[in-house]
Amino acid sequence: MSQKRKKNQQKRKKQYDGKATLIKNKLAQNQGLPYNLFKKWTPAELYSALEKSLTKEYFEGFFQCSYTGQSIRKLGKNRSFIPISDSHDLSLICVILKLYLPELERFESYYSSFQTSYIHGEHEKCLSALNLCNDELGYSKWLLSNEFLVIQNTKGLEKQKLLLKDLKSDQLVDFRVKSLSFFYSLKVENEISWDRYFNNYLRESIEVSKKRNQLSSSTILFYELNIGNSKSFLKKDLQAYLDQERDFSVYDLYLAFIKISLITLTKFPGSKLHKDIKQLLSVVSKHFSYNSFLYRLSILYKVSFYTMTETDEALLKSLDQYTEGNYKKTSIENTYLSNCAVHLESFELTARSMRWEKESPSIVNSINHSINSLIRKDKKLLNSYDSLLKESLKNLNTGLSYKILSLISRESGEYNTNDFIYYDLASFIFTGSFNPRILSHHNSIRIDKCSLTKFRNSTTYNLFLEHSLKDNSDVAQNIPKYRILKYKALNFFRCSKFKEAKYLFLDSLNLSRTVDRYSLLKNLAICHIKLGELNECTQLIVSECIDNEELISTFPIPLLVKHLSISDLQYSEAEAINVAILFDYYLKYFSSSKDIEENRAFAFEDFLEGSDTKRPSQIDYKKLQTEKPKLVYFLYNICTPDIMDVSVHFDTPESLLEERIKVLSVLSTINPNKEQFYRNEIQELTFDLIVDKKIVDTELGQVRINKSGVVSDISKAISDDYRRIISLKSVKHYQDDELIQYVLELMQPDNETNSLTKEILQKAKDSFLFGINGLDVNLSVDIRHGTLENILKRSLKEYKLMVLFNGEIPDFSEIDLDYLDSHQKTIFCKALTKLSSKVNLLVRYLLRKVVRAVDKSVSSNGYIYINSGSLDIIRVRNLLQSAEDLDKASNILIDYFWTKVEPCLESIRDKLNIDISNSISTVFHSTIKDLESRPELTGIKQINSLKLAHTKLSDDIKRASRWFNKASIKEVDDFDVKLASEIARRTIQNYDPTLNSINVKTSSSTKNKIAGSDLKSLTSIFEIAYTNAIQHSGLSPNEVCIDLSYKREEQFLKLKVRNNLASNTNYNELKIKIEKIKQKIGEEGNTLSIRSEKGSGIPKAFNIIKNQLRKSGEINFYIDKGEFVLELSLGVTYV
Amino acid sequence: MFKILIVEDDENKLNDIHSLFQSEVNLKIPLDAIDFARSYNSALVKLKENEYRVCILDMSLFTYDNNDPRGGGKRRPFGGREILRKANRLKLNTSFIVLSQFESFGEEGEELSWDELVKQLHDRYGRIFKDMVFYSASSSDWKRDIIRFLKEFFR
Repeated sequence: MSQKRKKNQQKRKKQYDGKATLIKNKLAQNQGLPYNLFKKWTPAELYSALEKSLTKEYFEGFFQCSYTGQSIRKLGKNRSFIPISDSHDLSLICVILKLYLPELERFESYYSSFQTSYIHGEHEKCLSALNLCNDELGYSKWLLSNEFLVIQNTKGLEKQKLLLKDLKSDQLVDFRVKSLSFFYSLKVENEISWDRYFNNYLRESIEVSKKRNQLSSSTILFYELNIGNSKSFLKKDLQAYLDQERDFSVYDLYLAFIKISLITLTKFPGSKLHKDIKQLLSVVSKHFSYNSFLYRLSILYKVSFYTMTETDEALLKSLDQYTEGNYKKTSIENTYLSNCAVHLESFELTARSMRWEKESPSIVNSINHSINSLIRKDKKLLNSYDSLLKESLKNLNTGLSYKILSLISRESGEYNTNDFIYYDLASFIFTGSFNPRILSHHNSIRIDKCSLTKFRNSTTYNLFLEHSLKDNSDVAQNIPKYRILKYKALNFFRCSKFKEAKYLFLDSLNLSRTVDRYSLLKNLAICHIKLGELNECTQLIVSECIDNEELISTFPIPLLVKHLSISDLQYSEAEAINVAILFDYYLKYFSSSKDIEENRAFAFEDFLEGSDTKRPSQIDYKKLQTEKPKLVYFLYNICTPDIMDVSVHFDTPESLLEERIKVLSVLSTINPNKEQFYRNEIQELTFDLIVDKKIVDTELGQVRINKSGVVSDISKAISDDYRRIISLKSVKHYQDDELIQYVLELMQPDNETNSLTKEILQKAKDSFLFGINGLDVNLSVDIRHGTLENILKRSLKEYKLMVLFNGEIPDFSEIDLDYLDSHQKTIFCKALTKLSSKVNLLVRYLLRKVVRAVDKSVSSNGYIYINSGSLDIIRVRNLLQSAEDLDKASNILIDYFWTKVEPCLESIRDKLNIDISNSISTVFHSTIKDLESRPELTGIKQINSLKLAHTKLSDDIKRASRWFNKASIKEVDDFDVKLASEIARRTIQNYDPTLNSINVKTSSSTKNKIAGSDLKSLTSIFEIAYTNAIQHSGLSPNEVCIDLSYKREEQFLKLKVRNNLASNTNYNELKIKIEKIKQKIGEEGNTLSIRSEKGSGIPKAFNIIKNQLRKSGEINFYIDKGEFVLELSLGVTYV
Repeated sequence: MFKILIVEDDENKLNDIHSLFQSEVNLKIPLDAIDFARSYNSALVKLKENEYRVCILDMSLFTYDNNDPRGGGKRRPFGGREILRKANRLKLNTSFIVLSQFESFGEEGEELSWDELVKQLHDRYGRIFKDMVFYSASSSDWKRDIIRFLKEFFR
C-alpha cells in the first residue's frame, strides 16, 4: 500500500471517528441527529459514523424502540426515531439492519421454512413456523399477513374473520395494523379474485381516501407497497414512507428496504438513489450471509459476487437439457423438488417439455396443474390464469408471489418490461432461485470464477449471449434449429426489425413441435401488426382461438383492434368473418365500446355484402370456403338481433327475431351435434314472438266490450219492446228523403212503434256503454285504471324527474339531484314541481273529462257518447227491420253503436295528439327555457334528461292515442297459462321503466290449453297480481321474487301467486288490511266499485273474475310463512 | 332537383324544422324536395335509394320508425354518427349537418361533450360532415345557423 493511500485512509478514519464522537455527543445531549452537520456526507460515511456511535442497547435505550419481540399491540408504535433525509435515512436503516443481523438471519430461516411448508400444503408446519417466529422474534406485518393465510387455510373464513374482528375491536392496536389486517384478510378469502381485490377494493379505497384528503401521499405509498402491487414511488415520499416503516418491526423494515432498493434498481437505474443504495450495500452486505435476502440484493447491485449453489447447478443442468431439445431429460432431482418447490422451475420445465409427472400433494399440485395449463394453453387456461393470480395474491409481496407473476408475465409475452424484470429479480432475492435468464436483463452480474466456468459450459447461459446465435457457433450446434430461429427472431424483434423477425418466426413455427408455439404465434402476430398486415394478423388469431377461446389472452387483440378501428376498411367476405369474430372476442373478453360494437356490426354487413345476400339465413353455406368452426361461431354469436339490426334489410324488431330463428335452423343443419341446444333457443324465440304480437295487438286498439255479455244484456233489456215491435206489422221502412215525413209522424203521440224504438235505443245504449260488460267498464279496467296514467308519466319517472305529491306537499325522493348544490337543487325542484303538477293536471283532465263514456243528457264529462235523437231513432228502426230474431237485433244494435263510437274515439285521439301534446310541449319548453336561462344551472345533466323525457313523452302520447281504436276481434289461438303470465310481465315492464326485470318463477303440472277468448282476462289478472307484489311487498322491484304455480281441477284453473315481503313488514297491520279487503269484496259483491275506478289491485281482479270471465270463481289471499299468497280459482274454458 | 333529407325522431323538433322550411321562402326549396326519416333504419334506406345534397341529422335515434306499434327497436345514442360512418363508407356525396338539442352525448361507457363529438366527426368524416347546430325549442339561433348553411350551400 502506498504511503499516500495509507495517509488518506488514516485521514478518513480520523474523520469518521470525529463524526462518530459528534453524533454520540449530540445524542447524549438528547438533541437528535445533527443533520446540518453531516448533510454533505455520503451515505456510506454516515453509515460508518453511525455504526460506531450506536449499539443495539444504546439505540433501544435512547430511542425506546422495540424492534424485536413485539406484541401485536406494540406493532407500529416506534415513534421516536428522528428522520434525516431520504439517502441518509437509508444509512440509518442499514445501521439498524446491521445491529439486528442475528435476528434477521433467524427471521429469514422462518420465512423460507414457512414458504416451503406452505407450498407443500403443510399447514401445521406453517403455523408452527409462525408461532416460533412470534415467540422468538416477535410480531411483524409479515407474520400477521401469513397468520390470516394459515387460519383461512386451516380453520376457514369464519375464524379468519374472527381474528380480524378481534384486531379491529382492540383499542390498543395501531390503526395502520387494523387497516392492513382488513386487506390481509380480504386477499386470502377464496372468493376474492386478483382483479376484484385490486380494482374493487384497494384502488377504490385509495381513490376515496385521496378524494377526501384523508391520507398523506406517504401513507398511501405505505399501503400501496404493503398491500398493493406497486413498483413505484415518488422520491419526495420516500423518506416519510421509511419513517412509517420504522414504526414497525426490524423485519418489516428489512423487507421494506429490500423492496425500495429493488424498485430503484429496476425503475431508476443510474439515479442518485441507486448510487447511494449501491454504496451502502457495498459496506453492509459483507456482514450478511451468502443466503440472505440482502446479500442477494447486493449481487444484483453488482457489489457482491454470485456463487453457484448446488440447487442452481441442478436447475442449470435441466435447463440445458431443455435448451438442447432433450425434453425427456429435463426433470430435476426429487431433492430439488422437495426443497425448492417454491422456485416453480421444475413445473415450468415439465410443462414446456410436454411431459406430465406424477401428482404431488396439495398446493404444489394445484400450482403445478395451473402452470401446465398456462404453458400448454389448454381449455382451462383462463381458470388457471385466475387461480395462479389468486395464489399470488394470497402470498402478495413474497417470493412465491413474485415467482408466479414472473411466469405469468413471460407467458403473456411481456418480456423486457420493468414489471417483469422486477418480478424476476425479486423472486431471486426471496426464493434464491437463480435462472440464467436473469443475466439477460442484468448481464454484468459479477460471478465468481468457479461458477463462471460452470456457466460457460452451459448451453442455456450461452444462449443469452447474443454472439452465440451465429450459425457456426458451438452453441448453435447444440440447440434445436427452431429454437435458434426463435432466438434470432426475438433479437430482430427487440430491434424492431419486424420483417426479418416475421420470416424467422414463421420458419421456427414450421419446425416447432413444443408449447413454445404460442409465444412464437404471439410475436408473429405483433410483427404482422407492426408491418400493417392487419388481415393476416386477424386471420392468424381467429384461426388459433376459434377452437380454444382460452388462447385469446395470449394474443395482442387490443392492439390489433386499435389498428383495425383506425383503418375502418371494408372487407371481403372471407376477411369480414374473421374481423367480426375478432371484434366479438374483444367485446367479450377485453372491454365494451360503442365504437367496436359498430365495427363488429359493419363487419357483419360486409360479410353479407361479400356473400351477395341480404340476410345470413339466405347464404349458401355449402359454397362458402369458410371453415366450419368460424362459420358456426359467426352465425351463433354475430348473427344476433342486437347486431343484425345494423342492416337495412330488417325493418322491425320482429323481422330480426324471425331471422334469428332461421339462423338457428341453419346452425342445426351445419352443426347437428348441438341441434337440441339451438332448438331450445328457437322455442324461446318463437314464444317471444307470440308474446310480442299479442302486446302489439293490444297496442293497436284497447277499446272493447265483452260482446257476448253485451248481446245478452241488450237481449234481456229490450226483449219485451222488441217483441211488441215485431207484432206491429205496420212498420214502415223510410228512405232518407222521407225523413221529414217521418219526423212529423214521430211527433204524433199515438205512434207506438216509434216510442218502442226509442226505448230500445236507450236501453241498448245503456247496456253497450254502461253495462257491466259494456264499453265504459272495459275502458275503466283497460285504460283509465292506471294504464293511461302510467304511460303518460313513465318518461318523467324514467329520467327521475317526476315529483310525487303527498296531498299538497311535494316529495323529491324520486328526483335525480346528483351533483347539484343546494341552490341548484332548490331551483330545479321548484321547476319540476310546477312541471309535474301540470302533467298531473293534464292526466287528471284526461281521466275525468275525456276518456269516459257519458250520457250527454246527464253530464258532459266524457268524449264517448251515443246520441238518441229523432234521426237516430229512425235509423235504428230501419236497421231493426232486417233482424230475424232478438239476438240478431242486439248484434245489429252493437254494430250501430260502434259506428257512433268511432268518431268519438277519433276525437280522443285528436285530443291527445293535438291538444294534450301541445300543452305538454308548452310546459316542457317553458320549463327548459326557464332552467336554461339560469347561468348557475349551465351544464347540469338534468336539463338533458328533461329534453329526453319530453321526446319520449311525445312518443308515448302518440302511442296512447292508438289505444283509442276499437280492439280488433281476432281469432286468438288457444294458449298456455305461461303465455298470459309472460304477456302480463312484459306489459308491466313496458309501462314502468323503473322495473328492470320482474322475477317470476313458474311451475306447473298441467299442459292443458285454454280457449283464446280468455287470454285477455287472464293476462289482466296476472298484471294485477304481479303489480300488487311489486307495489306492496315493501321491497325494491328487483328484490321481489314471485312464484307462480298453477294446475287444472276439472274446469277450474287454480293459480297460486306467492311473493316475498320486506323483512320490516308489520304482519299484524298487513293481516288487518287483508281482512278489510276481504270484507269489502264480500259486501260489494258483483257491483264492486268498478264504475268508479276505486276497485284496484285484488278487488279489480275479483271484478275480472266475476264480470269478464263470467264464470264462477273464487279468490283468496293470506300471509303464509312470511310471504303473501294470492290464490285464484278461475272458471276458464279448457280445450 | 336537389333533395334534402331530415332525419329526426322527435315530433316537436321535426315540426319546428318543417315550419322553418315552410316559412323560409327565400331559400327557394320546394317542400316536395324535402324527405323525412324518423329512424336510423329508414334514414339509411332513403340515403341509399336517393341522392340527397343535404341531410339534417339527429344524433340519438331509434333503430326503426317509432310509429310502428312494435316500438322503435334499440335506441342508438350515436345513431347519427353511425349514419355518417355508413354514408362515408358508401362514398355518398351528401353534406350532413347534425342538429341536436343536447350538450353531451352517449351513455355510460362512451360519453362525449359537444366539442369532443364535433371534433370526432370532423376528424373521421370531415368529407361529408359539415357542422353541428344546437337546437333549442325556445330559441331561434338554430334556425339562423341552418339557413346560413343552406344559403351558403345553395349559393
